Amino acid sequence: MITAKNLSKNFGDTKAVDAVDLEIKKGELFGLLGPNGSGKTTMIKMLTGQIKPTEGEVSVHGVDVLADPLRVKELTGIIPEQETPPSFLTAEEYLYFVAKIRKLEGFEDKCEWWFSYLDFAGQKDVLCKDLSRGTRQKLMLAQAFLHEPELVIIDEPLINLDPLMQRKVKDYLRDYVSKGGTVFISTHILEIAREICSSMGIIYKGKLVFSGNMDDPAIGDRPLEDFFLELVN
Amino acid sequence: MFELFRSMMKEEWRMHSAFFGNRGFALFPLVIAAVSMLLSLSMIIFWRIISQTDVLLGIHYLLLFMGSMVGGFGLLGREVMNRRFGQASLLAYSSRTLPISERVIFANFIVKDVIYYFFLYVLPFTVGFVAGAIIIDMHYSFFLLLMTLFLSFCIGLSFVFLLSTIYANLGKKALFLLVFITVLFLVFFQGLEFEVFYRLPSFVLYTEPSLNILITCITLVIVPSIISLIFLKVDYPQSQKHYKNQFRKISDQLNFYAYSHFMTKDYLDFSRSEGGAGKIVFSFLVPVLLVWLFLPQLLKAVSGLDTLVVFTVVVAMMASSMYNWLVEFDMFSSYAFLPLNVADVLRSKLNSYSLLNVVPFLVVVIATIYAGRLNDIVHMVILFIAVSMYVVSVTVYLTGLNTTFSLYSAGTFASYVLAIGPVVLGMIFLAQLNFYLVLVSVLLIPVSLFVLKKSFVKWDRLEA
Ligand SMILES: Nc1ncnc2c1ncn2[C@@H]1O[C@H](COP(=O)(O)OP(=O)(O)OP(=O)(O)O)[C@@H](O)[C@H]1O
Ligand SMILES: [Mg+2]
Repeated sequence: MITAKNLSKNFGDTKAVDAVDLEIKKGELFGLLGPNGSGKTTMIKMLTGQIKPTEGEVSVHGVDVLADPLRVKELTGIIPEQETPPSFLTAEEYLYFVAKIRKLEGFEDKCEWWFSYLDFAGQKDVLCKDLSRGTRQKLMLAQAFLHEPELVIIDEPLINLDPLMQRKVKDYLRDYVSKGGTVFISTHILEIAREICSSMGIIYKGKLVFSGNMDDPAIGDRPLEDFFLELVN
Repeated sequence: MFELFRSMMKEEWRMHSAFFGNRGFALFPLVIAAVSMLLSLSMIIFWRIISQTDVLLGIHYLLLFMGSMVGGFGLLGREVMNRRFGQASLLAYSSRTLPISERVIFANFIVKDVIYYFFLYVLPFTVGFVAGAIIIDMHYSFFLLLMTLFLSFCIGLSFVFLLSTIYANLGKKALFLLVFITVLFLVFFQGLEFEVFYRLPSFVLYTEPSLNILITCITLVIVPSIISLIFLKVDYPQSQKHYKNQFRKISDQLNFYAYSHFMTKDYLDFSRSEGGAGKIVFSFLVPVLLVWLFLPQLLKAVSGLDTLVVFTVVVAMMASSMYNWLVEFDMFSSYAFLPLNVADVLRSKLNSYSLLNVVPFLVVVIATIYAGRLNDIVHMVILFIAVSMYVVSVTVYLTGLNTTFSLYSAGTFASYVLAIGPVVLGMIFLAQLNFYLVLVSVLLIPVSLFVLKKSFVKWDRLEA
């Protein structure tokens, strides 16, 4: 589903992502882990054609991201790190807007379903700019799944959500994958990975220092924190 | 207090320079100086038709206008900044998190604007102007001119601050009041004579310096500012409002446009944001009325010009500023994760722009009829469409989705002036030779389409 070879991005002298090779198969729930500033967001932006890599190749759904970023964005649901829905539309209008951009028909029921599943139907007629952060994140989740893509890429899916909603989102993601979808998430909370991911990569200072399944013998039964510290030192 | 002031200055500088690089921004004053120098040098050609006093008067009004633009930007700009950088990021908003009163912050904000733009506009403008004059052996008193131009700038600025305060406090009512006053003004001053313009206090201070008039000028600056500060109203997010879903309805009405969903969003952004439809009245119709009123008087100094042609050209240029309103709500990053090109967003903005242009279009039609020149209506319409298209295509090419900020960059601003100035003056000149030559403007339409095509390619490449 996702293949990256020697993927790198420099911002001036900073090597935000440094020669990463990555392979993610259909049906995986992949977690990209790493501390603040390690390159997760930069990685996601390159995978989704939002920025051009300094070096390397990347393909998603078998489409060369550099050659046809629009196609990749069509086929993928994406939630960026800083969710910025246009401010003067209401939550519901925003979903209609996205649906129009994606040329969908009969999306109204799906919108309703998301409002009730994530429990924000009371906010659907409020302007996006007046929504709380958590509610915006819910809206972005709904937006990303609206066209039922085979692949969804989410930068920090659980950020700003309360424990109850985190539970619901985790359940949804697991369910989505069990029905044949593929999910790529980034997070700096290690334990989320153990809870829901089927495979993971650990990125540190732009380098991918580990990648493998959650039952990889290298990890064993240790807390991920210990494993992580060992890798980093 | 001083610390706050210093930080605001730094913030302003960094914000501007971040948008177009340090060098581009630092060169801006040089471009201003160059332009004003050309202006005063051009006197050597025009002295037969325009007197030196008229030029001085003109530049005092120009600075008055610049001041009100800066004030207007501070007022509309706050909303823009807010959208772009988020609530907490600007120091002007820090009263929400720091123990400083809003008034102190705002007072700092005004003083900062004044000093900042003194160095950015007023000083370089004066230097360029006086230097140009020396070359052609005309002599102005530099410090007096610097002071009176600066006062002009401040008067413009403080009046717009006052207007914005009235508007913030009274909202729609103020708008109607304003329209009413303007209409009254129009009726009352129908027979306005050119001499009235010579009474601009800062200009009078230059021609006949006296303590009285100096005090008048300072009062005109201080009093509106103080009133603005006393009645200062900062809009905290009020109670959460609920809106009916209008998306489907509006986009269905617009569906003969390819980008009807974007236009719906533009419409909703526009009508629900601060000022709303008032923006059209405030920043378009009122200025147009003023131009309509003043133009015949101003053109008296230059004989033989067709006032209606000049008016149409000016309206078309002002119309292009509507493109700024349309893009000020958007950054490409809010679309970057959707299957869209920058070109798609630009095209959608041009769709909305063409719809908004109905307003200036009607203005031109009405003006033509009012002037009793129904016979010339086709020429005027073509001239309007061609110039409006051309100016907006240049704007799109040079600034993409970042219009407001990019025009402060020296290179961009200079290219903008060079691309538009000669063409517009050329049109007016042709019309003076022979009225039917305005039809040459038709050629601008294919040129604009070509420039737009180039722009789409350019911005797709740059923003990706
Ligand atoms: N546009 C940019 N310009 C310059 N440097 C950048 C830019 N974007 C990211 N960086 C730098 O690249 C590095 C990686 O940043 P990135 O945002 O990818 O980290 P992250 O893993 O997502 O962090 P976080 O967990 O805080 O979201 C950081 O050092 C950051 O400062
Ligand atoms: Mg990040």
